[in-house]
Amino acid sequence: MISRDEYLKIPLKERFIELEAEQEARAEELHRGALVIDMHTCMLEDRLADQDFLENVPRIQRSGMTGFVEEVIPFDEEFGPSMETLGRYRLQIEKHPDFMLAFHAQDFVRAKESGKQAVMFGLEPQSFGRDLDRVAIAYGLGIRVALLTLNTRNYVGDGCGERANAGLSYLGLELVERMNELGMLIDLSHCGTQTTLDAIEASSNPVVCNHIGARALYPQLKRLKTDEELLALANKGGVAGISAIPNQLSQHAEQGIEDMLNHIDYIVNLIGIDHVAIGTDILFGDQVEVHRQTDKTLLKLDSYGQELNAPYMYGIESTEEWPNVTRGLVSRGYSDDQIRKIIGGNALRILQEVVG
Amino acid sequence: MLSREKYLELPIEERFVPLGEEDRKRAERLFDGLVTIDMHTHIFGSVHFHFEYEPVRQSGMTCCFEAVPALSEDFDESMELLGRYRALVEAEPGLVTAVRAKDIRKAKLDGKQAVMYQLEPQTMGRDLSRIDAAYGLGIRMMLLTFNTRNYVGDGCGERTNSGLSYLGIEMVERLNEIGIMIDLSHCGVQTSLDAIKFSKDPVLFNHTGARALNPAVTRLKTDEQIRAVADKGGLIGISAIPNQLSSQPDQGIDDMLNHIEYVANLVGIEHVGIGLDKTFHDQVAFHRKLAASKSVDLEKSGITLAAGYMYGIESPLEWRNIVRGLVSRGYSDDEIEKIVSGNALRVMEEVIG
Repeated sequence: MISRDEYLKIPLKERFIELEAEQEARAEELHRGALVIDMHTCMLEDRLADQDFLENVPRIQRSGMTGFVEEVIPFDEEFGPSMETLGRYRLQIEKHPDFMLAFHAQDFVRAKESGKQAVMFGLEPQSFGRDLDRVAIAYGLGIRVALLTLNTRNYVGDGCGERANAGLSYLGLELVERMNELGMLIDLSHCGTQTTLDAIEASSNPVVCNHIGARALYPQLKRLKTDEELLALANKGGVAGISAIPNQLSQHAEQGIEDMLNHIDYIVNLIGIDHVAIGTDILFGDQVEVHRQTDKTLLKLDSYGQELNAPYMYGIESTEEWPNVTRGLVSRGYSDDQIRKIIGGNALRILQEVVG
Repeated sequence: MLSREKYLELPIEERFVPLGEEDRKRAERLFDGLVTIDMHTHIFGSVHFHFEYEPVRQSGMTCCFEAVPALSEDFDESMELLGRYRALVEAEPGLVTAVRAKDIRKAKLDGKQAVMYQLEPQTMGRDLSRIDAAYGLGIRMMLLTFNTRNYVGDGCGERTNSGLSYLGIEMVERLNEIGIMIDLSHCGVQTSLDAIKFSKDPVLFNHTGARALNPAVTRLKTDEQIRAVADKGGLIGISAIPNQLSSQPDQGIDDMLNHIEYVANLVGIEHVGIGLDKTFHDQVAFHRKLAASKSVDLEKSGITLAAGYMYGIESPLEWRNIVRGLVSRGYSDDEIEKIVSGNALRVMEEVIG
């Protein structure tokens, strides 16, 4: 396998899945015509180098996405700093003529009509601490999706890398209620199993695991969702967003778009086509390097069983490779309707239901 | 039972456990001669800040281990409160700040009262470097959790009963290294048992009672928990909080003595201490207010506000009645010394020096 740097020098078209001419035309038309939403991205800020957001803009534009949910990431779970980051991100979007802010599902539809790209904001994880009045403050400032926990314990629940497997706390139940009332979408991607199941049960709205895969395909990795969790999610009308995170879909030294498609196939078979979406979690820069540099201090990959075997995801390493998801779905024999649901339709539906 | 107001109008001698002349003299001699340590006090009020020196002086305690009650679990708030407490102690010639066991013995010799500081609950959030800062500013004991969940564990009033988190284990290690005592009084069962297991030092339940005597209250400790603390060489401080030791409408010094007796019989007199958790004010009224504001959910810990006060030990002013009560129950001078300070000093010497 070639290095990440060399891989990214390959012309874009050559990184894509090969298709017959007819399939190729179909994939292109589908991708151009559909409302495409990435439920989970980290593209506005490079966590390793001091690169300006503008350098990433051409890649985002080439992705053909209608819009995406960009994450504000307070690893320290401090509220004030997380809102400052949100402010900086919003400024970048507002100042750029080709982007627009999204606060409601309809904004994605408007973006599609106007040819702009819409950006909605999520909190990964929530930084409310013990003060649930902050839920409304964050909503007021533009947050529409929030993860209940990251990989470790907080006041509301246990993360997937925690030594215990506690359910939601009383405060956690209240937080779910507040988010339901306000119309903030609950993401359980990093939560431990019991916290996930409790939140699904407690929520009156559908919820999401917006950047995950199936544990059944990679049993060692606690960050992925069990069949039980996926079935509970779907029973609630929720959506599983399949990620493209290197080393979180398989253990192999070579990983890429095919792994992502395997997880899509598995989860579609398990819970049905109406409950599967895409949340790539693609970063501005080199994700494996971020994982490597923050492993000891922050992520503690060991705690949930992640190994750093592959250096990147061929075919879906960079945002600009997003059309390859549609191509991959064509190659796996999905119908046009099914593909439109996976690449944006289901995401739009749940945003309409929960956020409005 | 008298109302709290009528009770407080009684001359102090009439509020005390009745003793024969000889026993009364023995109790007085013991109280005046012994170091007395209250392992969990709220002489600055709890939540609502209020301080008067005179009642503290009258209580006659040698050492108050004062709890800084930042229920917000906000670090800055807890350190500001600590600063305010310390400033008042500095300004009062009869009081002295203590940060190790020998400071308490010295205070007794100098005819002063010592004040030590603990955090109820700890306010470190996810930043364990704050432990060093808290130590530097004078904190020598921390509760790992209050009644609900935080980053390290579950409280006794939480809907789940999970153990320590990874961060919790790191916190225990750091507290051991630096020499801060660990109090588990408000922790849930599994979080307590995990902390006892992972701690290298003895740990405490510094203001509690035996669950066996009042099974409804999850804030009290099971025999298993009490044994585990004792096996670790730790201390069980018996409290005088109304409506925890008993759920009867009449509660007082006898309930406290019952819990002391139960724990002493279960794990030995070497593991029993006193941590009253009293203010100088109407604690039940305060609990009512907390319950109404929903800032502390008493029901979830099985507490009903049945009694209006604790006869014989309603405030630290009645501290000497503990010694009278112990005399009345037939404890020897040596045993009484252990309960009122000896055991606490032993644990302090071992953990904080």
